[in-house]
Amino acid sequence: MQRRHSCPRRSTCNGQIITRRDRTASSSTIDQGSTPALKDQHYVYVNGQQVAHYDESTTVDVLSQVTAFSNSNGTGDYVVQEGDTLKSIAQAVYGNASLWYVVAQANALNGDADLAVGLSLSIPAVTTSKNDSTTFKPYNPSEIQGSTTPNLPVIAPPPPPPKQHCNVIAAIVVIAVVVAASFIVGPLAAAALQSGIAGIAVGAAAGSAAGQLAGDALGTHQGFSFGEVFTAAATAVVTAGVGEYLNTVGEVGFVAHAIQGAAGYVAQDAVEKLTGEPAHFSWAGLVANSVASGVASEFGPTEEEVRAGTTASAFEIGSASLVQGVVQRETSSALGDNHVQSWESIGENAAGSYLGAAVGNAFQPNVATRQSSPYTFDITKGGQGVPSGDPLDGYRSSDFPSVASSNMYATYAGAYGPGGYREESGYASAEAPSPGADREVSELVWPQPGSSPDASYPTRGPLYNLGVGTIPVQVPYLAPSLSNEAEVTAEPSMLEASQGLARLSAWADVEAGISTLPVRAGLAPKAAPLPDVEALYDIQPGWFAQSHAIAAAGANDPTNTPFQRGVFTVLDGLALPMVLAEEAVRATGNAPAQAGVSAQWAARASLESNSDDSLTDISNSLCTGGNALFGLAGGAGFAESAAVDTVLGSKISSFSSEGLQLSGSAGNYTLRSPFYLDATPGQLNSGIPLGIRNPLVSAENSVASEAQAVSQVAVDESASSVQTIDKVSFGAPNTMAASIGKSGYASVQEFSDVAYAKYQGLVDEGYARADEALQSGKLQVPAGVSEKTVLGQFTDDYARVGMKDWLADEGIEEGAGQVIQVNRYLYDPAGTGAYRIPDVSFPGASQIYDATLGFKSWSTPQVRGFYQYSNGSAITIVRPVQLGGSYSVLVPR
Amino acid sequence: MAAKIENLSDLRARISWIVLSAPDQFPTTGSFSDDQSKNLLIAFDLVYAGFSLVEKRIKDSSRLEELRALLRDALVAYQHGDDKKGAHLLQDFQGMVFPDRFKEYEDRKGDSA
Repeated sequence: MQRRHSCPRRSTCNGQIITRRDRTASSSTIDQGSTPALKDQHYVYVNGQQVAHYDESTTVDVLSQVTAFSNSNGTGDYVVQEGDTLKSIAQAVYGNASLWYVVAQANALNGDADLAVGLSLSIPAVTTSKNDSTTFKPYNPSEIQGSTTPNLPVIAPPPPPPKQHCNVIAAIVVIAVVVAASFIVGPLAAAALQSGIAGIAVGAAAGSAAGQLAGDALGTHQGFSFGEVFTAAATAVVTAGVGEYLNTVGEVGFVAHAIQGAAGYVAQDAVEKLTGEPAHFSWAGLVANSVASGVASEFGPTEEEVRAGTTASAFEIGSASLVQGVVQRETSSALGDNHVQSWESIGENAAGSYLGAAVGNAFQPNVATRQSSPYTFDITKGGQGVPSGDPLDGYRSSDFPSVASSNMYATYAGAYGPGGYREESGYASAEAPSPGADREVSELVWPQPGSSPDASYPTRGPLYNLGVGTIPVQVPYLAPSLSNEAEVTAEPSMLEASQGLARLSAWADVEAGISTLPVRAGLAPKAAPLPDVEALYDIQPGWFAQSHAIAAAGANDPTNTPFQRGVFTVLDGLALPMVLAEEAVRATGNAPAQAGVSAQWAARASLESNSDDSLTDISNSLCTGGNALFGLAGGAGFAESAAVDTVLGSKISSFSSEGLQLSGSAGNYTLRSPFYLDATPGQLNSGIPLGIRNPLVSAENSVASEAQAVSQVAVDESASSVQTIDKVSFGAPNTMAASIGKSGYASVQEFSDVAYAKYQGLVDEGYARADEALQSGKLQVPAGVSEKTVLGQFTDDYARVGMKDWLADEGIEEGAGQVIQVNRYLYDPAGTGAYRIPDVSFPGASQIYDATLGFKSWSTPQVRGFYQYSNGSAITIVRPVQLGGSYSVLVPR
Repeated sequence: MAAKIENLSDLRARISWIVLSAPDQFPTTGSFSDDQSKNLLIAFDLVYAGFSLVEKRIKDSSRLEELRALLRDALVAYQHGDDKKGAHLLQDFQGMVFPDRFKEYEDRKGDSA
């Protein structure tokens, strides 16, 4: 078969390439392969200068010098106004306060003291080769000073820009928001609207309103603004008008969408000014909006569909909004725009777009229904060490979607069996469920439908009602009801309760085309009694709250496996049993940065204390739990790395993030971590390992959990290659102290644990008090400050004072060089001068606790700063339980 | 024993703590007791003790006197049962001494609404 490679390009009339496509064509097919570089590449120009590049892997690179500015003609004179300084004048006329000396020199001024109101200053010409977000001159038509025609000088091609990656976690969060909204929209669809401009306006208004309400429920938006609603409607009308015009002149595709996006941005700015909403116009924002609109057009209805009159689905529009928001945010950020759209706002907009489209299209979703899972579990295993009614028990690895790593699910499946090991293709023969023993999955897996709003949980109202009121909104738990890939990739018109967000992950990946989103369904930990689950769940809707609820509820159920009790089903399918990780850290003294893998293995290695055990014995103990002596259970721990070396050193042939590889007479074994993902360790970094810190696990449960932990290992007997290592090191022992404080804490870790509980309580109490004070009018909310910020500030202050008072009561010194530091500067050890201020840090335990009302992931600058500047501390975000509680963030290396 | 105010951030936080604790929700351990009216005085004494830090930042004597008056009036308001007024006066104090506190909070936390 003859194959030929081609690389067609689309160019501007100036010969600048705007699209490049690499492909290999055979007789009837075109293959672009899987290499990102071979995907279509798009280039964006402004005034002939390339300003951005993006490809179809959602990579968006915006060149760093796009804001370079020249006023080579000079700006004439400037008359000094009240309050002017040399820097403010330089900022006004040059867009760069650092050029104050140019003004001073040209006018023989010694400093600000020489400025007098009414003094006329000569403003010489200046050309700057590079600006950034702090120096770029903002554009405001009503406040024009200086040049009205900033031009972009021709500059040399920049070096390859750093990659800008979309935040996967946020993307999934906003998808979750859209889907949560989809459960709410039902009856709205009955209000079918006329198409056309009026429909667009009403749809946009409905979307804005719904988005605001959803934002209220999420805690990401405060209050309701009719101005926002009107702005959305008016902006949509103007944008649509421009779109119609472009259609009449035959301009379609990316350029048209880019122009339309720019028009919408300008229109929004104008309408915001009219309505008194905060206006945030900037050129960076304009460019970002333009680029994002063009990119988003790739995800919405195609031009052909538009021409053919095909109605885009609400999901298509919602997805387009989502993608547009993500791209716009990345572009704005890269351009240095000060008004980068928050992820929460993107989520609101996506949800709003979804709802608006649903209304406009008279989208008629099915009412969410709950159905029994077709899967079964074997209740007979309750007598064999597995909790009766374990909803996951009895699942075959083949029950899980094929889009996921089979190894991963083989491991997961193995984690739940009493033997701890099932063949990938299904049960090991000895574990096959006996006929008649199968039962449907307990309905406890899902919340009961028909729940009515509960006054005890005020945030439940918006979630459940949101103008609908009659539909019991049930965003289900992650339910393992995915049976095959075909089902996953089929676009559902409406999620069903039993399909859950697990399905959404796959679905969204396929539909939104966000190829960087790893698609793996999560498993469903067993839920605690429903009232608790619902209470937790309803505190804040969405993915995170759901996961928190699952983890918290599961942790309280002593019949759960440790995996279920401690797990936070994370977004990359990486289920990380944080409880085990933390205990392993405690036992081994490992740096928490290693806790994700190595410390766990160190703990597991302690299963075996007899140095002369055979490899088979070791694998048996790990896999069957038959003679497991989990070091942590007995309190002896596994703090002595030497023991590891002695016991297993001769047998461990390799050690990696994938697990241990053992060699011996019985063969070669690869023992994999229960959160083993794929063969490439780098994939760990592509995910969002985000685990919940769960202090709720009681001591009496830990023994049982650790005994069960041995089952969380699968053995891959097919491994053949063996690498030899000389030594396995698990880090230095934990910092110990004779006694800390009046209470006599025996170790830094013990003190840290107590301090965490204390801080959590203070944050909870502070937030409750602040919220009450806000509601009663005691707290003032200054103009331009959100209620959330006020609440956060007061909560933070309250917890800080409470923490310091407690330390004073304990007689524990706080500060530099002390075992605990409260609100102390944490400088970059690289000497850059950069710093962060974590609320509470324990250098000796490598732990940082930081209170916040929002969500933070490892990609949040604060979290990364904490991690980097503390040389890898474990970071726990302490959130009020009223908002869903705390969680830990593991930062990928 | 209550922690000493070592810097202006401590002072800001202590005032916020009073706003959320006064007049009768102070802790009852350490320096504090079951006598909430006494606790109120102790809390304000802590703030007064930290006022020297304010004097290092603000040199204008009339402004300093205005700030002292705010504290006095706030305590009086609390003692007369006007909790809202007391809280507002303390926040006025914060606004004068720490005009950028919310912005600094957002920058530090990465939170913005």
